[in-house]
Amino acid sequence: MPEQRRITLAVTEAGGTRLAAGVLRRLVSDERVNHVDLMVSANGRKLLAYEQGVAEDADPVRVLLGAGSDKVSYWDPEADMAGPPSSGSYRSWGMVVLPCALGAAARIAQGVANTLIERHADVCLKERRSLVLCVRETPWNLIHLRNMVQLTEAGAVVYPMIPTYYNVPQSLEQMDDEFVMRLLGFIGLDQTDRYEWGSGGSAALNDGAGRSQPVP
Amino acid sequence: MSGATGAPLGVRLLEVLREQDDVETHLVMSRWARSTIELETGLSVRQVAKLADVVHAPGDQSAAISSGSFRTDAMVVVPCSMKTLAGIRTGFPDGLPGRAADVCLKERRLLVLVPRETPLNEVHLENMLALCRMGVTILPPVPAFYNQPTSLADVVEHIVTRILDQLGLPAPHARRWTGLPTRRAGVQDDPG
Repeated sequence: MPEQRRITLAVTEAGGTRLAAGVLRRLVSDERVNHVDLMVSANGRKLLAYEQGVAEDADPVRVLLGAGSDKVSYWDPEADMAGPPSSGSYRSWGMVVLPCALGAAARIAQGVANTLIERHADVCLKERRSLVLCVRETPWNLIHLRNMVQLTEAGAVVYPMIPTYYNVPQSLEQMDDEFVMRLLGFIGLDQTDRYEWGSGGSAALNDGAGRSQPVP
Repeated sequence: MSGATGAPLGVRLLEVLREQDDVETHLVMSRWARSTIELETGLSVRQVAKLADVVHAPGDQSAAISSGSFRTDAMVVVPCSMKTLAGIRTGFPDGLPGRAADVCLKERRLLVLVPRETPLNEVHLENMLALCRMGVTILPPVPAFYNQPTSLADVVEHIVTRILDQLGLPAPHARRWTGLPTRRAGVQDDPG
C-alpha cells in the first residue's frame, strides 16, 4: 500500500458546498488518506449555512460529514493563521480548494496570504506540492483569466466546477458524483472506473437509465 | 455547436431563442457536435436543426455567415471544444464555425464562447486569456448553486440564462441572486 497521505481541503466563498461534502466524505473513508486538514473561510461558513440549511456557527466538520471525525482537523482560516499548515515543515500531500472563489484564487495568484487558506496554498506552491483550485464562476473576466494562467505557471491546477454530459447523467446526484469521482481520481485517489470513457462508452453511460428524455 | 460535451446547453439555447420573435438563429453543427447531440440529448440532428431558422453545413465556407457583409448581432459557440477555441484564437479556423467567429472578431461583434473542459491546461487558459483580451466573452458552463438547483434542467437553464444575459436578450426562466435570505433553518418566518 502506498504511503498514507495527509491532505488539505479548503472551502471558500463560492457555491457548491455539497461537492465539498462529497469529497470530504470520500477522503475520510479512504484508507489511503490518514488525515484531512479542513479549512472554511468566514464567508464560506455563511455559504455553508445557506446551502446546507444550518446555523452559521455550526461545526463545519459535522455539517459536511454529518458527524465528527478524528481523522479531520478543522482550522479557522482567520483565527488559526499560525496553525501547523502555515509552515512547509508540516508535511502534507497538497490541497484542494473546493469551491474556489475567484477572489481567493486572485489572492493565491498574487501571493497575498491573508488567511491560513491562502498561506497554505502559498506553501503548497513553494514546496512544489499539489494545489487544485476548483473555481466556481462564469463568465470569466481578464483578471480571472490572468490569475488562472499565473496559477498554472506556478504549478497549480485550475479545475473548474464544470460538469460533463457525455455519460448522460439522469440526476443532479449523478452529475455531482461524477465530478467528485473524477476529481479524486485526478489527485491519485482512484475510486471507480464507472466514468471512464472507452470505445463502447462508459459504465455510467451503459448501465445508466439510458438517454435523457427527448425534448418534445 | 462544436464537438465538446454539453450538447443539452446548445439545444436549450436554441429552444429559448425560438420563443423570441425578433431573433433569427443560424445554426452550424460540427461533425462531432452531431455525434454528441445524439448521445447526450436523445434528439436527432434533424430535430435540433428544426429549432433554428437557418442551418449551415460545417464545411460550407460560402455560407452567409462567413462574410462580414452579412450582418449579425452575435455568435455563441456552445459547447465550445478546446480545438475550436484554439482555432479561433490563432485565426486558423477549421470550417465554418471558426470562420464565422473570425468574422465576429474582425467586425467587432459580440462573440460568446462556452468552453467545456476541466481541468484546464496552460494552452487552454492562454487561449482564453488572449481571446478575452480581444473582447470575447469566455463563459464556461459552471453551474451556480446559489439558486439551489434541484434538477439537471435547472443547471442547464441557468447557463442558458447567463448566455442570454450576455446577448442582452430576455431570460424568462432566470432565477437570480437577490442576496442571502434572512430565513435560516430553525428560524421561524417573521410573524409580522
